[in-house]
Amino acid sequence: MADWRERLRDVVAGWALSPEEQAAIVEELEQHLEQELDDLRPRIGDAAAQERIMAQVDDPALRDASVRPRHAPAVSVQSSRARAIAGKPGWSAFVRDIRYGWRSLRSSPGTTAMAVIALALGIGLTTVMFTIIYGLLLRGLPFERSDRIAMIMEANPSHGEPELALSMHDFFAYRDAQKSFETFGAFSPGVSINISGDERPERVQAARLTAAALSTTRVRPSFGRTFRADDETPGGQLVVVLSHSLWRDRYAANTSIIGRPVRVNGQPATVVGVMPAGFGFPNETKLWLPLRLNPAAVPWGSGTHVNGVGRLRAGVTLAQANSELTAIAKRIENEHRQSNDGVRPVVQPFIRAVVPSRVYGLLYAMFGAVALVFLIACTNVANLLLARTAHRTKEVAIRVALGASRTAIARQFLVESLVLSTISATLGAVIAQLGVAVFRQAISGQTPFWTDLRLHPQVLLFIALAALVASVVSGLLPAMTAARSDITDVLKDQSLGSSSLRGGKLSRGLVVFELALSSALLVVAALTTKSLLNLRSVEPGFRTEGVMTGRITLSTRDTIRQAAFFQRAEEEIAHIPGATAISLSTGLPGSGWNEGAVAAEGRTYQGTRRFPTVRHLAVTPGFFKTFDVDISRGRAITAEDHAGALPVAVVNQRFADRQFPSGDAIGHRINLTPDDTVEHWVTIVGVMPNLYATDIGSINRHTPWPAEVLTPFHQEPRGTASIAIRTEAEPASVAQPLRAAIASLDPDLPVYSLTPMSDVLAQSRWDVRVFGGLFVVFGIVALALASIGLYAVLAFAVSRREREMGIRMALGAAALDVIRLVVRGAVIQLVIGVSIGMWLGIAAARLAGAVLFEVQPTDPSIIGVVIATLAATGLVACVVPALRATKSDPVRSLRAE
Amino acid sequence: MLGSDLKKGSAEFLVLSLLEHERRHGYELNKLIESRSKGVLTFHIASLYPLLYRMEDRGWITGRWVEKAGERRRRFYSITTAGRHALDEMRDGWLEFAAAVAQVTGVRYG
Repeated sequence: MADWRERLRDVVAGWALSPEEQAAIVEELEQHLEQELDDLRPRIGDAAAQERIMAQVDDPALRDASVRPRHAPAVSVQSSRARAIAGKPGWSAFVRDIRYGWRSLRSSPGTTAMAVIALALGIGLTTVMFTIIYGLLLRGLPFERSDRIAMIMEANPSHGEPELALSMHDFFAYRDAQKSFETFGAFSPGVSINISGDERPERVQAARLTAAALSTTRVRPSFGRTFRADDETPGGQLVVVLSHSLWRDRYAANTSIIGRPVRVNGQPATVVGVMPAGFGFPNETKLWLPLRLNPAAVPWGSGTHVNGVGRLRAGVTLAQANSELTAIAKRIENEHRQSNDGVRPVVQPFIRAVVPSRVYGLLYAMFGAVALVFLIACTNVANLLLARTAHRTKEVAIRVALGASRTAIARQFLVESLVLSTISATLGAVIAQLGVAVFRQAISGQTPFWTDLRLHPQVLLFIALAALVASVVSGLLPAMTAARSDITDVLKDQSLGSSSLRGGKLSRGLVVFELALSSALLVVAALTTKSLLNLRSVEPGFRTEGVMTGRITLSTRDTIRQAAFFQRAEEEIAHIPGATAISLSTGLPGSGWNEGAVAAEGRTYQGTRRFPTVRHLAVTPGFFKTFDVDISRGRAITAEDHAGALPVAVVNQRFADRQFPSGDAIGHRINLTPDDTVEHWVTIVGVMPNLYATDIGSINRHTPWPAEVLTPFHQEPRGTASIAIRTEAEPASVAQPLRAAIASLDPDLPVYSLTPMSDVLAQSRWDVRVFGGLFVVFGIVALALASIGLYAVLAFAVSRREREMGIRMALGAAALDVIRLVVRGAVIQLVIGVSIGMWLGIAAARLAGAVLFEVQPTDPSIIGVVIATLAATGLVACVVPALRATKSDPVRSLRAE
Repeated sequence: MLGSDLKKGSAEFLVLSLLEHERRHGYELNKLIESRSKGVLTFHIASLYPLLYRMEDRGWITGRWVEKAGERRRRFYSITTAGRHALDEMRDGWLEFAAAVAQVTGVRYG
């Protein structure tokens, strides 16, 4: 008997309000009347009560009441409420969900804090790696529309040659026929030149390039001009363009520099322009020279080879340019079968072409590693949220019963994890900011000129996306679990809903997943840690303290003049005050020295590829004293081993063991150019200990203890020499005297790479230190996250079984039995997770081999340590909740029903 | 019973007084008025709600839907700053009026 309600609706409808206002007023009045009805009923009986209510509704005063439409707040609250109940999406419902989410997160601050920290670390680390990849590889050159700049190289797949420079003939053929590029130039990078003429001589990184190559960048000079076509004429007046830093440091930012004469490798040249600060195209270049090509002088395919660079015309894609050049290449191939058989052009974005594939691989491997950390963090959050979902089964069931749709419930959970990840992303951005600063510090001076490591807007967008992904990934499972929960089940069984059991299984699965990922990362982290320790404790076999080094490169190619110069240089340097020993050599121990093949006399080798490789260094007699290397058998290289004497060699122990395993190497002859028609035979006169040698790029390809052959420097004239000076004083103090000594012989000749020997060695390991260090950080974070995850899940599982534990204890189970019960489940998860993880980790370590130093991926001690660490962490994570379970009071837990 | 003009003005006075320290919903207001006046003053919805809405329009009170755990949501009214000013004026006016009535009639409030 509720027709007073209908009457009420009719009456209010007569007030001519908006439907929302009408509904709100009806609701309010209805409530009033219902309450009054409830109050009246016990006193006067139902019928009389209904009558009184009806009388109020029928009161003409109500019908005639003038109620003006009311405004925003009340109505909007009303409508948002209506929508929330109906489960329709809407902005205010969303806001309401956020508010609700925030409240419910605050209600469990411990869980929330753990989840936020885990996610913030995950987002922070991923962002650091993304910043590196973005700043180094993705952002592109800092030039106008730099995505249009392509590098043109060639490949010969049939010969297994993936990247070749262009012969100048091919370059001109492409340039004259192509229509895809608006500018098409050539450069030859990485030439170092000696600049002199007015100041002290200096060795600088230079590039030779055509006018078109420089204008491809669209960067204007700060003043003066860049190159013109007539600068490229062979034999013409030589001009140079200076970088901003060279102009600032060498010429004190002198603005009247244009037109000034300088000497480049001893040749007169004129400065015509200065480029703006930060411009180093193509390769950390400090000085630009015109590239002068004369294809008529040599046959097709020989002579200078260059890299092509061009700017694509608007609307032309890389693929289109590639197919156009391929068509041209086929025409060239038909005309010049001899030189161009199988040669095809390769058109690539500039940075892709310039950055070594190994660096690409390493960076993306690391990105993969942090993505794992990120996933672990998401899993953690998902787990924590799942645990909360299970606790909230009843809340959800009631909301469903009140009419909330399942989508509305799922949305509510997603919004909660969105709130969570938004907070985490903010914190993660702070972590990323710090991480990038630390990384920038660690690699300062080692990155290409275009590198710009900052939190660019794109990086911030990445953080936002990461947060969104995190909230979906970590919120989806709990949301779906919550939305699926069965009302009747929950309401029937007050304490245990079926959904929460399902959540439990999911949680356990997630923990296994998390453990697998963490142990994989830990394997890699432990391997890199061991690598770092190995690197630190490596005994290089030579002394680095108290040694200063530098390098000179002669302009002359005349071997007799080279030999004469180095003879005099050796004497001059030996007179430097404070120098106790000096050496000239083709390279320094510990870093890049010449690699070559070798053949022992009387042995036969099958094919040129079968010759053993050695590292070959030519040294003056002072080498052994300077680097404190003792000869173990035979004799060292001495002053007697001059140019006219018998060619001799000192080999290291590894070489002797490998090539002469049966007897003494001394007295045997070896050929240092077995694959050449001119043979270079030397006689072994001494054996020395193994010397450490590695450099960036070779660490994963070579043992740091290569087979070595040392020959007398003066028997093999060279254009370049490394100088090493042992001194009792501070190594850097001999830098200036060294410069003066060389200048007294040739004022145009700079001494470059002036570096104390200890820094030379450190530099050869910087990538292992930096990238290995990062892996260690990732591993530790992963371990922390996995422990949190394991702990949270177990603690939750135990808390749910508190009553069961209490009853077991009451029935006489010992504390140990209860602990065993809890730990058993955890151990199964640990074993499964860690086994998968080990396998993953070893696979990952092979990918990350670049940063491993003297460690095998399957190193048993590493695997043992990782398993022990995880087992210990896992046990702590489960023993704590287990101990709590033993303290549970059955009476209390039963009463809690 | 008081005269109708006076009663009309005093209805708002009553509502504002009851809302001065606490927000209340319509039924509660009605009950309070009824119980504190020992049944002398009663409202029907026809008089109470249009009054509340008018007061809301004037800006003396605001109504908000409030949800409490386990209960139906209700519309609660609270007094605004303008409502407090109005209440102060009414109090002064009432005291003045009562004093004047007492002067004239010799009736004294105990």
